[in-house]
Amino acid sequence: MPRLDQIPPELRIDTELARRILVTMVREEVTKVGFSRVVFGLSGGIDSALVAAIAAEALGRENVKAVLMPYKASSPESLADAHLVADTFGLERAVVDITPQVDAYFEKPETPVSKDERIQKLRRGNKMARERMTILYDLSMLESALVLGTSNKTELLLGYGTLFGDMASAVNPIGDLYKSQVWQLATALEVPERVVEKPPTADLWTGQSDESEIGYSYAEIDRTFYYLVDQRWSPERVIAKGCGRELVEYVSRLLRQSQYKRRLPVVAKLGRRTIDRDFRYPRDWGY
Amino acid sequence: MPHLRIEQIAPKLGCLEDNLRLHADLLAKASEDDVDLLVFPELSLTGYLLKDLVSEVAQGSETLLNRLRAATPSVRNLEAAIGFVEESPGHRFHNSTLVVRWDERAVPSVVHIHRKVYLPTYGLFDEGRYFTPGKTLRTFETQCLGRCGILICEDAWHLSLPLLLALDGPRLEGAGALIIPSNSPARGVGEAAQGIPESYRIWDRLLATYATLLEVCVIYAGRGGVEDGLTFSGGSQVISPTGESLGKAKHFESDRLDVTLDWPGLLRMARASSLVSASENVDLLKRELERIAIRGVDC
Repeated sequence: MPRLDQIPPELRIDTELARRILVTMVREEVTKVGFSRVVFGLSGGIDSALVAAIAAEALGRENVKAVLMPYKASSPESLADAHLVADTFGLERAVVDITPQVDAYFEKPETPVSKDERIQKLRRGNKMARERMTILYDLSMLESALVLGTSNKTELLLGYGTLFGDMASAVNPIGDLYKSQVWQLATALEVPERVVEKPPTADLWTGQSDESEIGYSYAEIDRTFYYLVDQRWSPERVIAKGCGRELVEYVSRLLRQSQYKRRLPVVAKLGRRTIDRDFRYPRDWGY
Repeated sequence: MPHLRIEQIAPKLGCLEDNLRLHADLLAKASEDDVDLLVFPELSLTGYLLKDLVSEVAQGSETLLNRLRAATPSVRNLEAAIGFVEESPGHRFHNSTLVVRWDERAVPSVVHIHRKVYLPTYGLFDEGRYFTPGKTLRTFETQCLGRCGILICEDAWHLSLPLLLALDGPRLEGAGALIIPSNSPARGVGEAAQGIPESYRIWDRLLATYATLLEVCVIYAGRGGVEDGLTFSGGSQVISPTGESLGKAKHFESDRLDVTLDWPGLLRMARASSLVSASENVDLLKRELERIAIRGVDC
């Protein structure tokens, strides 16, 4: 079934209005702090493709640099799709193979190895995400550009991302859009159909799929979050709505367990004014 | 016919001097363009999401008046509503709107100050943490539109305040116009939004309702721009005392709205064909409010 037909009715958005707000937001948040350019990681997936579309419209395609950062185990289709998206929106691109720097670390004799294969997989995945982040921030210095984030609301609420890796950015235009809404908006902004329709993947190893790894479809998860988070319903009421007890309990647990990922590190209070507790200034202070 | 202007600006957050220069330029332009009343949005001199900057950008109304005098040597025959953080003589901080009149000799004087009464402190709003609420509500005379009242943003979400303004004046002839400076962040983009944020659609409804039921002109001054990821709705508008739109500014970005009003013709037209506002029973209102507030709801 096409992705668009799977979007729960509760989550459907006015794409033209969302586009206007997000384009305004990116343009303002980038230019008013003295920048005109952005860089971001373009994976070939739907989230970064949507960010490409928004950024190109907000800042002009000549001011948007897409950085493609494949690892040797990344699927070749992902790289091809990333090029397709960059071609579609006319973006300048840089390709940085992260294999040497990731492998160098894990091949060092002093790097410890876990016996647990699952931990090893996660370590490699996190390492890749963090290497990509360091490349983006390095290029942002070179290009005098801000780093745009590409995490959607579903993965931010699940904690399905790497802290200080793909979760790091200066401005995130899509962090208040559920995955289902990303599909809808990406379609409206003419992201290539192939990218919209393919199964979402973190692409950390061949054949990986978000939905089979999480065990639920994004449509189901998004609908559950919509009632729990946006409507502030109790879990019991959400279950009564037909979201399924296991699913509701699962996402509620992940939501709570990943809260730390959505906050700055905890600072031990000693003085009268502690950063972010009683030293409170807006991020756009002076702009 | 009075020439009304709304400057839907996007102030620089926490930058009083930059914003003061912007105001001075726009006041000078309005004066050149023969504008009679110029309305700026809420906190137009400071920006909205101030947090701990509140005390750093605060100033007394006399200080502000002196600064305006120095910055606007060419402004004549103009009235303007300007949003600022007011520091009271007792060092309380208010979210205030100052109404100033420049006479024919370019000398400004204070016509009125309204201190925001209802400070939203829920959801994404945190005003009660930083500001002290205003305690009074008064109408005032303008040369341009006669008796007016001001409601700052959330004030207009409390039904009692527009009613009080509509009644407050000599012989119960209250405000003929409500000036509503606002900073409304856009939210709600559901499929039914039809191009207008759900948060703004409520404004559309309540502004038209006040205009119609109170038979007043409603002047709503929103702001544009973005602060910390919040995109402001803009959409400044003027509504006649019969509830018709007389003009509307763009959403989300800075814009200027000019409206020339047939005044008091429009007010007369609305009130000649309806007695809804004229028949408000103030004695009943007073009696019932006293019963509710003093003796308890069960008496």
